[in-house]
Amino acid sequence: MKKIVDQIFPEVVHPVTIKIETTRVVAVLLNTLALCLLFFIIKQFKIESNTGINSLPLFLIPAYLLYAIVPLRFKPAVYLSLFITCTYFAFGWLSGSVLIVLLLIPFFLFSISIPWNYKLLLTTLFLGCMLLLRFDLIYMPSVNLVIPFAASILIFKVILLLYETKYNSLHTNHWLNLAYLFSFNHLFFLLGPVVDYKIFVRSFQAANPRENTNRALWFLYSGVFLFVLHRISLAVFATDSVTNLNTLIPFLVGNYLVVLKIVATLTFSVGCVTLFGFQLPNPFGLFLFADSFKSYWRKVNVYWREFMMKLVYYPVYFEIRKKSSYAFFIALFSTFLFSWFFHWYQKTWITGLVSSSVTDFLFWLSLGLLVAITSTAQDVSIDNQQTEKTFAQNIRKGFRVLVVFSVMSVLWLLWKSESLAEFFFILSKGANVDLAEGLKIACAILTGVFTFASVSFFLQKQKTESIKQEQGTYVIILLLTTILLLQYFYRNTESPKWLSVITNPEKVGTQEQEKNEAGYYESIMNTGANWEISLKRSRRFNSLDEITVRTNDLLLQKFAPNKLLVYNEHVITTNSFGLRDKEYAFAKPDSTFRICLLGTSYELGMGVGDTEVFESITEQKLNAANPNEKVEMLNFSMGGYCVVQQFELMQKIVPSFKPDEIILFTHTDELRRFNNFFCRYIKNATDLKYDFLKEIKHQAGVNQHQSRLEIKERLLPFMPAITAFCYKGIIDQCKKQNIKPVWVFLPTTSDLLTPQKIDEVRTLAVAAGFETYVLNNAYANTKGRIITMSETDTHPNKLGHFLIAQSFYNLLADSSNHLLDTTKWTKNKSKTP
Amino acid sequence: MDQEQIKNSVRHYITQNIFGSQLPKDFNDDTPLVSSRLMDSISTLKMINHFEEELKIECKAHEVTADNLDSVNIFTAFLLRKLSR
Repeated sequence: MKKIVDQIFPEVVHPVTIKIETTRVVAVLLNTLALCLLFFIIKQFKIESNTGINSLPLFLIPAYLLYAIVPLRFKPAVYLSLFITCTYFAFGWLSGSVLIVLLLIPFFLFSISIPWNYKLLLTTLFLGCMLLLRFDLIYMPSVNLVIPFAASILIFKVILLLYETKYNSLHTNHWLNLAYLFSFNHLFFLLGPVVDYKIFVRSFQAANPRENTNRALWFLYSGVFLFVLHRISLAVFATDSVTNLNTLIPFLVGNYLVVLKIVATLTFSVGCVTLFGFQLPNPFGLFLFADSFKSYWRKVNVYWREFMMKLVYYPVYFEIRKKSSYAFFIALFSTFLFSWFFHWYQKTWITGLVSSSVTDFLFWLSLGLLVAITSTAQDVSIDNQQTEKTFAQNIRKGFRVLVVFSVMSVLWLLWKSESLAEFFFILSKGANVDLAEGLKIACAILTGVFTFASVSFFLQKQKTESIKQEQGTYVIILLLTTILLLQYFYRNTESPKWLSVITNPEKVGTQEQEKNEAGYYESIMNTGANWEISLKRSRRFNSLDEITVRTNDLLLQKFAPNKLLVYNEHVITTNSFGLRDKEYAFAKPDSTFRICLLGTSYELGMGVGDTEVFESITEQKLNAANPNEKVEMLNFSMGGYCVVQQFELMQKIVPSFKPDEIILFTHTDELRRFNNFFCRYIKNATDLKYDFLKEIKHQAGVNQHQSRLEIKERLLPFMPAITAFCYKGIIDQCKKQNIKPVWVFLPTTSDLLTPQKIDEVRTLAVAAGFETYVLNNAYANTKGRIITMSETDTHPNKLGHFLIAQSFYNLLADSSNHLLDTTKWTKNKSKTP
Repeated sequence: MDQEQIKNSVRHYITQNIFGSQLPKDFNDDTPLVSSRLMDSISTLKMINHFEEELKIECKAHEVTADNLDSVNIFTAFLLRKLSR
């Protein structure tokens, strides 16, 4: 028996005898407590809650306890079992098994002894098959679902394994080799560190358990703290719009500090792996304070740098060193060009979209040039001379840091910009300088440089030893709990914005959200391929396309008739008129009061079943309450529709159904949403059909070739006028057809309702001639996750729709509102034979 | 060249090119150079070029790792292995 166990679980490093010491038991319990506190803070601060991270402690903490008590040889197996349990929990038996098999394939491929060329061929074939699945060219939902996760683990690791097996052989312990591929951090963060194989297997038990766990806790708490810092930066550097240099600078800084989220993600991921005995290096240095581009490159994402050096820099250099005297420059520059390629490769795998932009390429090109020039010019011995710097030298260093930070902020804007036009449009705003404001900015910058130099000089004089990781963890715990306490203290009063956004990410303004949604890393981190979605849904995204048809007019898209789709585990059916509704007779039956409802994704019922949509519930309730007075409610809503489409529906389709009443639904931030939508018309060069809209386009001076940002900015002042035009058009049609026009404001689930927000659109509706209502308490004081689809998908869920239906029913049933116009109904009734 | 001569030569090179003529007090032959980032990629490659010329050996790209270069002792051993081939 012992022989079998020895064979399956060979000694990893050296045999150890287990001694259960009191201090060790206490240390393990304290660490467990620290982990519990960590996940409590994550939950309280709602950190990346859409990734499924809140379910992680269910498995991670027991796994850590098990890991702490089992003999060394079994420890890698515990790490592996954590991945397997998390996988089955997240994906279920079928998809979970598929993911495990997908990871086992490269494991066997690299373990068996076949010529390296065959390994290369088989790996390419394997990745090719995965690619077909990623792009749904082979449609197997249970398999397609897990491909982004398998890809996020494998796409770089197979390259590293190919490299390793070309020159060396794999570690003899198969558990460690399996652990390299079964990295559970990728199950909740698709973006993970590109850990080198050799570093990974060698790092196992490289430090004593206490030191290792302290290091892991430091990484985990640092990660959480950086997530919090990122949120604070969003609030601190919030800018409504970039109009001059004064607003451009905070915009650039805030934009660049999105990098904190990436640092947080990678640091947390490294902490997760380190907790199980793999002493991985710190992924980042203090790159935000780098005083040269060379130093920046050395400190930013160490794992990526090592990967690129190994795969590109050294091979290119050795290839050309005898042919060119610029070998260093060319090798470094090539490294950045390949960095661009590998980022494109990663984005394609994770998002499932083949796309690249000029700005993406130019970012890497510019960074490559800067690093290559400064690296080849600067001598390493200068960095290593341990002479004490004078205050003046520290001031000079402060200015160098400022230059690197500023250039990186601008480059980051380039990377995130959709086009060069957008990049230059934003930068051009900096030309508007107000002298007084400019002086203020200059003073702030000088103060910053002076503070940096003073701190740097002071630390140098004190010869302060860097804070130990254990102490650092305590400091972070103290800071995070202080923030929690402050939050508790301010629970009944208005707290500062930076404080409220920490625990309420939904309070981050729309501008900041937009800023956060754009860019390379965001597209990877916000793919929607996460636990919460994967757990319960299949083919969550873009699946509505299967039952919609594109139209070459102002509607842009509409439902195809008589279709059925299982979307987000709910059935969406369309009737013969292409409405998400039950079947109705085209001609209005006698004795029937017919309402046509015009709305967006809320009214459409995104994320709930056909019978759970509030429109459907309300219709049923009205008919049940008064069986003799039949009410029909036809739902003309469509996800993404705005007032122009609703106006167009009123011109083309709705009147033919002879409604007695139309109810137009509006939501918070309508004008901003409408502005975004109108921008699509311009970018798509859609025929605007109506002279008024064409005139607006002319007056705003917008065209298809401008950046989205510029188009939106130019159009924004015209939004009230377009809305008023559309409202008037709807009212005119209603008057012509004798239809009662009703306008209802339905707050969104995450609304911070202010009277101004409602009034900006309501006044337009009143002026046009609508009867207006506000569903003030639509969610019966229920807030947050309980009424939404998820943390990030804030569409109302089944409960949300039920509550809206109650509120909507009350509005309609309230006889003082005369919304179910009985005179009209009686008129119809009187016609009944 | 014997082991001691190579080691002296490596130590001398590092003193002159990595630390600007004066070794730090706590430096010894096992002090990590690459993993501690005292040496960057360019200085590492320059050092390899230098000893390739001096010892008439040839290194490969995949040999540029901390396993072969991380300290005076490790690099000396690597050079000796190269010489013996």
